[in-house]
Amino acid sequence: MKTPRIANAIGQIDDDLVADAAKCKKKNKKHWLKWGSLAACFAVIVIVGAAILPSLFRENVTPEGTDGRYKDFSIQASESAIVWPWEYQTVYEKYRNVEIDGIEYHGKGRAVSEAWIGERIGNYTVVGYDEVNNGKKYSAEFEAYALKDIAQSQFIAVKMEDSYYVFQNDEYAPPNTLGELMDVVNLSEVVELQRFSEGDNSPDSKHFALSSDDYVWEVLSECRNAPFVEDQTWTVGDRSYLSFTITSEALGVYKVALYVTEDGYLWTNAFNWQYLFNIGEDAASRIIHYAKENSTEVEYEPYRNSVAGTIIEITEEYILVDDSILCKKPADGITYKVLLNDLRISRYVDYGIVKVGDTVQISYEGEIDETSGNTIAGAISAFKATISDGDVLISE
Amino acid sequence: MDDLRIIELYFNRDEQAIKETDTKYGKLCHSIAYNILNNHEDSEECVNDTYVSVWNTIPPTRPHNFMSFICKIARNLSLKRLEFMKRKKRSAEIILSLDELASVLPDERYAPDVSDEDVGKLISKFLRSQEEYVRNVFIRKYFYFDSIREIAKRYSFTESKVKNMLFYTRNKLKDYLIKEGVEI
Repeated sequence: MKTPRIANAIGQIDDDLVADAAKCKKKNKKHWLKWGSLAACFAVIVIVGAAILPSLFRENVTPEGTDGRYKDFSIQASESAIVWPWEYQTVYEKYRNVEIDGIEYHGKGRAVSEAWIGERIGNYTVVGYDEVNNGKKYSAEFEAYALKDIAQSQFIAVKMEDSYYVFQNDEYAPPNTLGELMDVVNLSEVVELQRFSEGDNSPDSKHFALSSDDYVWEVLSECRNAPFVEDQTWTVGDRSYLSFTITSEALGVYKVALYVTEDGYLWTNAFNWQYLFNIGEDAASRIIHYAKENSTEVEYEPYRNSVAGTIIEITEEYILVDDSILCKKPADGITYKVLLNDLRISRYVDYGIVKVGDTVQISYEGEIDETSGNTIAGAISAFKATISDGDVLISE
Repeated sequence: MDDLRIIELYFNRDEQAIKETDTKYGKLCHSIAYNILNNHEDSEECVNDTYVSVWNTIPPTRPHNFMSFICKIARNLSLKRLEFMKRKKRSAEIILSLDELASVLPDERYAPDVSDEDVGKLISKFLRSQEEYVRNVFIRKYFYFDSIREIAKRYSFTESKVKNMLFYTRNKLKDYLIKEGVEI
């Protein structure tokens, strides 16, 4: 196929635009919210090739004897990019911005358990914008708290509807050294380095679970003088490296990355912007060597688990999703009970995005409870999907 | 070495110019080529061709922005090679799909009287009217051909947000070009 003309024309855009995109580092989340208003209520179609399905569906083929019960197929599902009307948003999606002592914090949209909550800071007005209605401003008062092991200048928690949610200082002000970062965030406490892969965290890489991360933090604590590297064009590229997957409640991040490269860099995207430190080859090689020696190989874990199938029933409490449509033998189908226990999932039903008879893809966090009728308690999205079996489109 | 000095080396026909260019921009060029070709060997050749092209162009050209200048050449040569490889069906590994761009402005049958350069100017104008990060995400994707995943990481967006943003910007760009008289 010929290169589309537009691709060639994009090669002719102004030099300063090309250069800016190479060095750009700052994103302003408020701007993102503005953009959200324009994107109201549409979803993007994504094609998920059959080749990656075994990983995507890894978690739901565990009930005994069900391995290999799926036929070859590909699935097209709309993606989770809907901007919901105000009344269909969770409280932490609604209220995202708060200013305390001159610092603007932005909600990460993730809950943090009470164990991380420190001293109460006070009551503050938290602001939200209804993007579907031209950014109409809402404000509400909530209690703000410090987080344990993290400086209040960087992260706080806001209590909304009996849960605590992480907010982060929105300004780009990177530390000068790794030590400075450690002074404001007690990394070894708030981040657990457990899973990692050799190179990119993709299904084809080798994946490992580290038995203990104490030694890694010990090495890093010796690198307090490691300088911050301000290089927005830095990419991991062809380097040899380990990629740790980090989920941290206190930082409000889910499955972000931390790289340790053989040539001595520590890179992470856990702080909203790229943080890159030069820890030196010696420290990096000690970490890499230790990790390799003290870990066991594990299976690839997809970013988020999902199941697919046909909705056969919707009640006020749950929806039943049957996956026989994907099976070589329809009799092997499993029915999943997806609880509508959270607005994040129930709104798909309430807003009429999915209904009985639809083929859907359900994403969830946590596990499927096989002991009680394959119940999924952590569902977070339900999108209509089209499943094609070879070249034949199976009707939804 | 700063860009002005490197350009001076080209003007002096000093081959050190290519070494300095490689040191400073080799990785960047390689990453663009690799994003397009998904093959180190071909990417390396494209980068070398880029240097030859720069050598042949400077002088007389004296680029204002050397980095963008060299990126554009690397990108252009890589796209040409991609087209060649696709034609020769030498593309088992190729994963870069330009299909999503085709609907914006497919080929020369459309707006034959407007040059790519002029369309490029319109695109620049359009991009300048967009929020900075929308513009940068678009350029990272369609100029540098970064993967959605890399872009999501770079800007700490979710991948779906990036896809959504690109989808929206593409449609808006198409509307803009039509409004500006490009017949699509």
